Amino acid sequence: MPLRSRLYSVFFRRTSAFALTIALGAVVFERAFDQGADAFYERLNRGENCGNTSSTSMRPKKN
Amino acid sequence: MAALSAARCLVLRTRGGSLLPPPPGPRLRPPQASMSSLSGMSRGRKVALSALGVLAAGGAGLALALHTAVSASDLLLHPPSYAWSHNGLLASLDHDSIRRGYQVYKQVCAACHSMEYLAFRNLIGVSHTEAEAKALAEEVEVVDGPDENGEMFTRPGKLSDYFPKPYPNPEAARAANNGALPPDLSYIISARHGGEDYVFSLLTGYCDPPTGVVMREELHYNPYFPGQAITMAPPIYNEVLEFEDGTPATMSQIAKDVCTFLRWAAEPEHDHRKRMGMKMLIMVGLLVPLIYYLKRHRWSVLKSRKIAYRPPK
Repeated sequence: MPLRSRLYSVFFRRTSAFALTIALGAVVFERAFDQGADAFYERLNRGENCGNTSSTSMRPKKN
Repeated sequence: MAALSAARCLVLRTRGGSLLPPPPGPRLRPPQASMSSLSGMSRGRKVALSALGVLAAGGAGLALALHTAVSASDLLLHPPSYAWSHNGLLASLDHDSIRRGYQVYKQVCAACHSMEYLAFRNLIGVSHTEAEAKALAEEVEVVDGPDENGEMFTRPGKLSDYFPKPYPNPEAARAANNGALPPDLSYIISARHGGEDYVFSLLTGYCDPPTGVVMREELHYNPYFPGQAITMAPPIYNEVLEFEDGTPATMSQIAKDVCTFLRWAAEPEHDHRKRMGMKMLIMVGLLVPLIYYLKRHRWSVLKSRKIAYRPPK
């Protein structure tokens, strides 16, 4: 498995690279998870303006 | 002879009576542990104790029966469960409804009811923008001070000010409302059985008293209110106000919006709580299989091990 061994040698082999992988992975995962979950929650509650602080969503509806 | 036995008795008593071991001699009964305190009791004591027990049990039963009877006479119409849009496990509050509900509170309820735990800043990002909340706050006159001369002064409200109170103190509120204190509405939804269902039913449930029920002049009949006689006059009716977003202001729409607003006021963390609960469940869903796999992995050595006893030859 050349890809796997390559991944291993790049990301996990050296302790410094391993630590960096953990730190960056945590940041990337946290952002992705949070935004994904928020998007899912807002999709579930579409049209309810749930806690959205952008000024456009708070504007009164024009009829 | 009699004097001698009396003296012996005295000697025995002064030696400590039952505290000391009995003098050696032939015993009438072999020593035995007394496991039951009733065994050594006389018949009269047993009867008295039984009578006391029966009396206590009867009294407790009577009290229970009387209490149930009291509850049974407490006629109360329980509110139905309404299909609130925020009822689901992952359903957020309807923030347009909160905005309309604040308008209802401000124009109708705030005449008598305070909301002393809510500040204008709490509305930001929930129902109003910061600019709108600032404009709302500036509408009220707030007593502040003392200034450098030691005098209190009034100023336009700020975002950090709490909602203005209709009465300066509870006594003034009672005096203005026939002795009944309008409750603070900050946590009213959490403070009443039935929550928003109860408040909605109360607001929309005013009706004529049944035949034979005479209400005092200042009281109103409401079957959802404990005791059915409420001092608050029917607060809302169709078109009692005009919504700024053009929603038709029917009585039930007004009641629903103010209930949503009061639910938010009583539970401002509502949306965040459900959002975090969902994230927690997703995270646990990721972690539990991982931890289970790790556990099986670590234990596989132990689980597949065989221990054999080899007797020495």
